[in-house]
Amino acid sequence: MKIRLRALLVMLLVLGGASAGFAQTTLVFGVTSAPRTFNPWVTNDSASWTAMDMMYSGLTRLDAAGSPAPDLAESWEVSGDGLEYVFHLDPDARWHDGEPVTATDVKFTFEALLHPDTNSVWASRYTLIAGAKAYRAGDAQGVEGVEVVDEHTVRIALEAPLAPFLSYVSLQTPIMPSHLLSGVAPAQFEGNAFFDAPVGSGAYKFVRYESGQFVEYDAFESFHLGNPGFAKLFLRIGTTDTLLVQLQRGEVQVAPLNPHEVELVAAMPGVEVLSYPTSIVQAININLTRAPLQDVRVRQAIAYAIDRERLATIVLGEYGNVASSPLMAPDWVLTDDLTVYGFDLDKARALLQEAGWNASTHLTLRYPSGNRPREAAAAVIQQALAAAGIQVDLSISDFATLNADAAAGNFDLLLLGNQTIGDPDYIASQYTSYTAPPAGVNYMHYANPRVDELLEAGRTTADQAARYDLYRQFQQIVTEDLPKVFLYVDPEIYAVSDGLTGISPANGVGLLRSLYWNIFEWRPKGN
Amino acid sequence: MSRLVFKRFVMLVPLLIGVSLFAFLLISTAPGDPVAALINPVDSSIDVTALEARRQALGLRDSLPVRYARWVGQLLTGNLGRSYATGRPVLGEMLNRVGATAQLAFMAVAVGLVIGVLAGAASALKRGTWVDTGITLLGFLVVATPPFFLGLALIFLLSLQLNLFPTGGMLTLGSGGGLGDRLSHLVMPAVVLALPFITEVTRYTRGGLIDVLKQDFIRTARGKGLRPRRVVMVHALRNALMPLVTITALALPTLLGGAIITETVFQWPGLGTLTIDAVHQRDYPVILAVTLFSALTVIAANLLADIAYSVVDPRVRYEP
Repeated sequence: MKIRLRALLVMLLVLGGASAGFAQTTLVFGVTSAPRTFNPWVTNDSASWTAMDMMYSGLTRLDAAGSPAPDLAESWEVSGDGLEYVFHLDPDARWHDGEPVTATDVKFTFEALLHPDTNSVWASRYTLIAGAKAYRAGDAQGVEGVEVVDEHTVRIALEAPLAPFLSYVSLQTPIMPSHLLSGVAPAQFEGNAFFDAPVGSGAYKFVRYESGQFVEYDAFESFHLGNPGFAKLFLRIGTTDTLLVQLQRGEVQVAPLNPHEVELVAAMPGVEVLSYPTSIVQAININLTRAPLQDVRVRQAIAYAIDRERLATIVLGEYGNVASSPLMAPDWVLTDDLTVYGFDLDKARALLQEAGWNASTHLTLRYPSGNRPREAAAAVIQQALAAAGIQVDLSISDFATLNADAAAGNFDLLLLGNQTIGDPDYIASQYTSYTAPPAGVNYMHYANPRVDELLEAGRTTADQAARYDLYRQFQQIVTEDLPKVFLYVDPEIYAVSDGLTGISPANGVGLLRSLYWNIFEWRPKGN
Repeated sequence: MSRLVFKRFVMLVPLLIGVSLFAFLLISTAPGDPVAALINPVDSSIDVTALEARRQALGLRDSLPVRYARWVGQLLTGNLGRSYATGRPVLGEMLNRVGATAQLAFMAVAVGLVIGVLAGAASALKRGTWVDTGITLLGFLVVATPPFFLGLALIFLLSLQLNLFPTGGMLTLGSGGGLGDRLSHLVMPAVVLALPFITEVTRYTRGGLIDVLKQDFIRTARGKGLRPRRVVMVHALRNALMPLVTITALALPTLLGGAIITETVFQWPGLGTLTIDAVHQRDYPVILAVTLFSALTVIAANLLADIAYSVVDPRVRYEP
């Protein structure tokens, strides 16, 4: 018995030791939350999208500059009036089961996405496709505006020009296999066995998902944009603490970091830190249905009372970038011609006095848990506003609670970001009057008819110079009206093993994808 | 005995109704709902009307009694429903995790009993010496240290510095996960989970043994000329260990319910992380299923304790 125990112990030690280190052609990508679903139509959860982006592909994708680039469509034409898009599919594109990707799959995808029973969160992006409304109302069998021209050509007609159309098509709209899904009723998509073992046309093909542990993929040798560099890919789910240890041991090659963890990584041999600003602008959303906050002087006082340089440095260190506008990306939309609220405590106090601010009023600042810099920012804001004479109570909640309370208007101040992925139209529904709850996510109940006009025109104008002018005016009005006080730009920080080549992060394009938009080009060093 | 089992089964019905009703009301009154929880509010390009349609489709707009009745009706046909978050059957999601949790729990109990009894016996036999004091102090230290810290400290020491054990997960990525591989992944989380239990067992063993060693039959045994070792191992320890049956049975439901912190630190995909994710996502069917499972393990463990007790101590009889 004794001997056996000892043998067992020795075996454990040997095997435990042997488990360190990986074959050269395995890439382990650390993530901090588990994917919830592989059904692309029902969520905008970023963890799920990271897992899906590895195995699905869209008609187009966004490149490092945030511009649409070929994916399943190797080329496309847009008509002069912006109403017609013709996509030419890559004839070499294949599904992971070997079937060719065809125009039928594209038509199927848009019809599945737009079907009312699918309840897709992306439907509103595409209701301008000709015939989409009739189809959603049940008056048509298919979407007339998505037309199969031949096996590898598809034409999409719009009712009105939609400037961000290509950007929308590039993101969160993977083409799905008609031959595997067309037999499923849209109401049955959820929970369908297909999504337990999805078949896509992306660089890596799904092998399995061990719930809460990892997603495993194999390289897809017939990937239309070229051979992926690793035979195997894992998304490993863990906390940043354990992922960092695993990075140091070489068990993980990529791991997300919080700003305060950068120091730990700097000392690790063979690991480098990559960081870049995202397009997420964190801001204090102000509830404009609350009487004291309807006075613009009070909102200006809040803006003047916060030293944003200091705030960004405290919460993000060297990665802090101050935001003075809702739009910090893409580049063509930026403007300097804005009202900027520099830190000025005296001015804040004077404005409050002028507005007849009652010093005994308490405002509640709500913010979601899970983003450490943002949690820290709440406390800094509380102090800053107290100095100006505004009492703030902090209230932290999880997303489920916060989303519901924000929609119900249960807040005075709400710390929440907005994001532009490739196109400024992404944030429109936070500012248009007709998207106030329950119709949308304008939680502030901000209403300015001019803003509605500008954003509507921005969406339907094709010419970029004209759009620049529209969004410049929008930024000017919003920074004067101050339904939100803009604070800072979220950075993304990753620890990356220097055994990888081919990584070239895209600045300000989107969420995790900014790092891995070209994951099919990543290679192990020396190969 | 069969009467006892039968009585427990009869008790089960009102108990499960009570537990499920309470859990149902509690989570239904929590703010937020599963549809809101699926949404990342930073990305405002989503279709809010689709969210409302989803609520309708999931039946979240029905009244509480209707929803509860529907859930019970499903349950009676053996259907735990589908997870709101993943759309997959709840039973499958749970079975995925129960195995991992059970491995961890039983390993922790085994480790706890072996080390705890040895340490407790040593402590009692060397009572008042530095051995006793050392074991007692160590026990308190272990109980007073938060498990996440212990977990990270072990990872740092045994994985990073000494390279003895893997840092986390249930198996080496890319390997088939043989027995040795799985066992080596199990060691550290099981030890961290077992530590408070080890201390508990140590204290009970020490106290029990000191008590028993004072009793007449031990003196008689010694007087008969039995070897001291035999007196302790056979006569005293056996009697001193009886309370362990109870504390082990009572520890089981806690361990089987999933150890959220230990599981998180060691990336162990058990019921604990499933539960905490379900709570964050307001995944009502999963929360209810896990709650029912916990209630069942408590009842089963108590029954087990009663039966085991009557086996190890023939004086105990359950008569009406």
